Amino acid sequence: VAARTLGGADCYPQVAARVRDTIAQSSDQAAFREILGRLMARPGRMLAPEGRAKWPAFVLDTCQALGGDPGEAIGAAAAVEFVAAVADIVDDLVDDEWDEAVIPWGRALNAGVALPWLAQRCVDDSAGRLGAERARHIGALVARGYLAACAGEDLDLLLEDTPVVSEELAHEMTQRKAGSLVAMACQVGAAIVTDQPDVLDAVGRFGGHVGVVAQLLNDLAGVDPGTPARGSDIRRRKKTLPIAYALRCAREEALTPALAVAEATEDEERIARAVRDLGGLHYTWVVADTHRREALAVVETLVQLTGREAVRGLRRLVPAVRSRRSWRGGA
Amino acid sequence: VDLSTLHGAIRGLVRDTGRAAAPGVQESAASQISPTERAALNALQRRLRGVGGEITQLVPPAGSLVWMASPQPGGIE
Repeated sequence: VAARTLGGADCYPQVAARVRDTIAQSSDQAAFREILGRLMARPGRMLAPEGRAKWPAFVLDTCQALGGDPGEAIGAAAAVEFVAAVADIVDDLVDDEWDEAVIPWGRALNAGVALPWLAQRCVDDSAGRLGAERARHIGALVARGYLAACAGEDLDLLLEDTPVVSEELAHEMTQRKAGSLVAMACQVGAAIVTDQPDVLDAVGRFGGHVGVVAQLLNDLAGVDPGTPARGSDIRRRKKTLPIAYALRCAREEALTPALAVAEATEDEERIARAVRDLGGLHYTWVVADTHRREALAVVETLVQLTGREAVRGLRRLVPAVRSRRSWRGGA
Repeated sequence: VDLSTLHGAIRGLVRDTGRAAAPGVQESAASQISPTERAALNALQRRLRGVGGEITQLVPPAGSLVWMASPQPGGIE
């Protein structure tokens, strides 16, 4: 996801400062503040040295695209960053992808539980600038989006032990787990500017599609043959969309190698190749691209609703559905 | 896209042509696609139209030929 779009990126240092200030005020215990800071400095997070955080852009760019001042959205962007951080932490912890050597999981779990409260504090602190009613609305959006993502994560875990998962259910899980969080982030940015229900609804649909595209690309990487950093999807019997597709092939056609996805008895690389050979990558790419096109269509709807050409800048938040290697000739 | 219909389209294509398992096309330019490969892709194009899509770009991750659907007219023919 392109984070540096529109003018929202200019506010990144201020968002980072708000995250640091909120952590600094969180406790009188230095060790706890320190672990919070380390959680917010993980790769992709706001305080990471490489500075490639993507989440604030959903808030800041949406705010600006709709005619708002991204400077007004600093607190809201920090709140979203805290919530996105804990969702990411939980995902890594429950998927056995946590690097214990960097941060002990027990301390990460405990400090992670505190992050939504820091998000709430950021929202509360923005009431002076945005007004109590608008801040309350933003707080409600953050809470609703985060709870929806938690429910999606729970469904993801439940499906690990569910042998028969339809493609529709796998798709629904993806929408709940990933779509709801990005939808929330974009709606928070919009809510800085407008109370218009149809605009907020369209922004939510836009963010939902963006989140699903990003997750499906992640799911593709999780079944990519020959990739050392494939993650734990196959090992944990995740029912991501490409895997759900392969399992349906296996059920309907009695294909033993693909059935092994559900049983996790086969070599992971062999299972990844089976998913690919059955067309699981093809299938998932089409669904991802369909969501991408839906997101772009919603942008046009937003242009019509708001009369603002600048809304088209949101297109840059939509992940590109492309290969790691490019096709030289094109089609 | 209806997920179930899409399943049938993709699975049918893979079964008919072995496309997903076939390496070799991945490093080729579009102009270098063989007649057999082009026929397979055109078959895919027809199937895609059944679910509202078109081939507009060919992308080869992980040694397999992958395509993207798009509502725009066009394709590789």
